[in-house]
Amino acid sequence: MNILTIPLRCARKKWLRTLSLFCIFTLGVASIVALREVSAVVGESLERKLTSFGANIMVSPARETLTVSYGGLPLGDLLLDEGHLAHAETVRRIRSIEFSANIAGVAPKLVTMARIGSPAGAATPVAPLPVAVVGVDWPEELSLKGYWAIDGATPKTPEGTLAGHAVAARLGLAPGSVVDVNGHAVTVTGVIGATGSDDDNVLLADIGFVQRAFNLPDKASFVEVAALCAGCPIDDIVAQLRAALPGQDIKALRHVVEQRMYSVHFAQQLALVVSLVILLTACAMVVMSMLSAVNERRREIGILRSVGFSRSGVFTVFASEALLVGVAAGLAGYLSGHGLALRVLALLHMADVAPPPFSLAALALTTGGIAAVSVLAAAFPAWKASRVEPAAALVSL
Amino acid sequence: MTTDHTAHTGSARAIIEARDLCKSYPATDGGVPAPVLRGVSLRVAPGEFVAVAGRSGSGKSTLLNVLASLTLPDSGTVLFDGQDITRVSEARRNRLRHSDFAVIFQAHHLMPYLTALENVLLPFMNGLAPVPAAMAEKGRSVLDRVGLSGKAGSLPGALSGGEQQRVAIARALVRDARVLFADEPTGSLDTATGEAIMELLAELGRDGLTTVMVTHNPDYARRAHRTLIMRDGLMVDGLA
Repeated sequence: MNILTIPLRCARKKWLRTLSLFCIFTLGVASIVALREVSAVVGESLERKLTSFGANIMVSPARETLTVSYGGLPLGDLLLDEGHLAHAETVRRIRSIEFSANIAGVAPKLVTMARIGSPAGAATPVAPLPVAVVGVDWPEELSLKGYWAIDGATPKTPEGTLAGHAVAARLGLAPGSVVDVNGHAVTVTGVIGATGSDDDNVLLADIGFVQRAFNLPDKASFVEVAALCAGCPIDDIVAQLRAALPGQDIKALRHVVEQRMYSVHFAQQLALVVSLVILLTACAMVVMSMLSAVNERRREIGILRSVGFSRSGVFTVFASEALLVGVAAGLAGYLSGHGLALRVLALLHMADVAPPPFSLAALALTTGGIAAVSVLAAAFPAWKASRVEPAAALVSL
Repeated sequence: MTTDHTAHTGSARAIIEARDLCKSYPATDGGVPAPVLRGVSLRVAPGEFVAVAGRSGSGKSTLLNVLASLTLPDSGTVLFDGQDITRVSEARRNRLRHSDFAVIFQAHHLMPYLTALENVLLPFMNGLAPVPAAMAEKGRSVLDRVGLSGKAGSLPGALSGGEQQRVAIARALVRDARVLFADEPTGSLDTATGEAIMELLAELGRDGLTTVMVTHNPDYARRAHRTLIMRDGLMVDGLA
């Protein structure tokens, strides 16, 4: 028997009131936990989906240019070092940074030039033209170019190529056309619909094939990286890439990052606002319930005060009741909210993102947080109870 | 106008002494506050059993509440062992209510969801430390003394009015309170039960417990060593 016996017995005696308060708070906590977990997963999934609209970090060899002029006449810039990246090593280093889990895609490119003529049997043959032939890692490239509309299919063999819309129109290329690339017969498997980007003007082929065809073994011109920035700032990822790839030029495409993070943060902030509204509603219920209890139980307050309970003792009795409900609702709310989140995510088919794990730390944090919030919500009613003069409480009956 | 009923105790040292107590309650309609005590003085000697009688609204219960430190007077002093307890700290007043004073009411005032034993031990539950086993044992023994040996685990709702009042008396006894204030302790009881409670209070008085009892029953008032009569907030008469 101690001071906690009083709120415990009261909660048991007034079980209907306790149960309804517990249910309201549990519902609120479960909603918040479910919203938080669902929004985190949806945000991550959304960001992963946004990576199919392009990279947000560019890795390229450090280059120096020299501005040439003579007699005051500018003669243009001279590229001193055309340099290449070591393809395999660069990709390996990018994949091995501390935040590697945030790297959603690594797409190396090898840019070469070749003179490409019309395919045999073209209706209106044209003379061979200089065309950029870009070597790509197909799976990685396609993960970043989800917006491509391909007429035909993606290449299944190294000797296949996708033609940009403009170059296909210029050379009369269509799926099935065979063109000569640096002495190698290459089959056009598809034509990319107009994108309004550089992709319209190039032929894209397997990077290994391009390296062999142009005698540039293990070379890459640059690497596009798609980083997920929800869990960490882009600057941290860039810093780690710079440490992993000293001497290379690494730039964050900030406008891309900011557009994506705006979308992700919007979804998460919406969930946060809804969570706060739920939390405030639950707190208001606790305040109303405790205020009502204080008014109902003035006689008990009078009895406690008449046998020598201090104001802090009366405060403790009422605050403990809220704490009791808060702890129970925190535990039950986290467990049910986590279960609800898993159920909702299963219904949303979020297979591309791992479901939120059950975390004892999150359980403890949620329970502690909700217990603190419930005590805060009950603080005013409990304080009000503690201010009641014993005689006034007893005479008022 | 003030009345002084201190002379009845002669020169004996008073355990409780009130001087010129005045108390008003705010008018419910916002008008002039209604005076309930209008300059009341009295002395109670250690071990004395004093009854305060009078009609409803005469100020008896308010006087008891002021003496028991359940409320403060607007003016005047209450001395307990010579110390003015109307000017002590809140903590000191809590200690007085906890250790030195005990109050029993007409409505029993038990916590409805605590057992009889827990109600008796309520004053010792004001903290996280468990009630000592020795105190719990004392609680059982005082329940035995008031005739409730088999009811320690019963909730107040399962007890009769007389039994509830006995629990309230046991709560006073377990603390070894020095002064027992009783406000119409038999008011809600039938005659036989009221007689039993009065007999118990008289027995406690014989054991030396200082008791101040408010009652409007002249028969019960006559059991006290002294009866003070109140009318309209004034002490109008006192019988030795």
